[in-house]
Amino acid sequence: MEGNVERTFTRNDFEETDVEYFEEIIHTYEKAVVQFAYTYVKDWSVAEDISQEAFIKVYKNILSFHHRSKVKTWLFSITANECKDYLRKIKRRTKWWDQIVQSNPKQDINTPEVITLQNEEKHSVGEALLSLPVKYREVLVLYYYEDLSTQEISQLLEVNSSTVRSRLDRGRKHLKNLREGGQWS
Amino acid sequence: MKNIDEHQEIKNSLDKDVFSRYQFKSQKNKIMEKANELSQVPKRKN
Repeated sequence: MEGNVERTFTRNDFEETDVEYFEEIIHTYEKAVVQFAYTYVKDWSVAEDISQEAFIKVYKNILSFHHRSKVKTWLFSITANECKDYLRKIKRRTKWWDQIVQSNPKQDINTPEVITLQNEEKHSVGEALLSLPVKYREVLVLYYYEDLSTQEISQLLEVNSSTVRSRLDRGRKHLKNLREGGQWS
Repeated sequence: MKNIDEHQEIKNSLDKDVFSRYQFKSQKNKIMEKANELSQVPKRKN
């Protein structure tokens, strides 16, 4: 299915087939883009909004896309950036709340009951993966779920291949630690 | 080389424990509406 989307076209082609081609891209990748966005934002409604924005960006820039990468890599790269922008905005907005919480006396929330519950909640590898920091989460999702190579991930995230390999390695270790009952700190 | 067992375990768990909670509903119409609102986007020929 992806093969039909991965094609080159000239401006003249685009004039004739633009809408159909764009619809084909949506049809092929829409669900995958929403799922990918969810792994960052952990909210399906936000993930849907972000995927809409990502597709609109593709539409706006489709003529300047030179197929140095696959459409999928390009689309996922836009999605990753949109998600990171969203997370940055949320972080800024909630900073004041964190300050209020920090100014209150600390309570020991790690009671045995809470730890047991946390461990039970993190029993699945997929859920544990989503609790990792974004830099490890994104490479693990792209590598294991989307089946991309380290080179493709490097292109998509605009980081070196060696950085991707190192994050994969550390991500796997953190994931293993979480699954063995440890907590991410 | 990917460890096949590790690969399958992560992929299956994401499908089963995370993505299965989402009931996919295409937003294609909404996306096409937004795209058509952009002045540089040619309208679909019916």
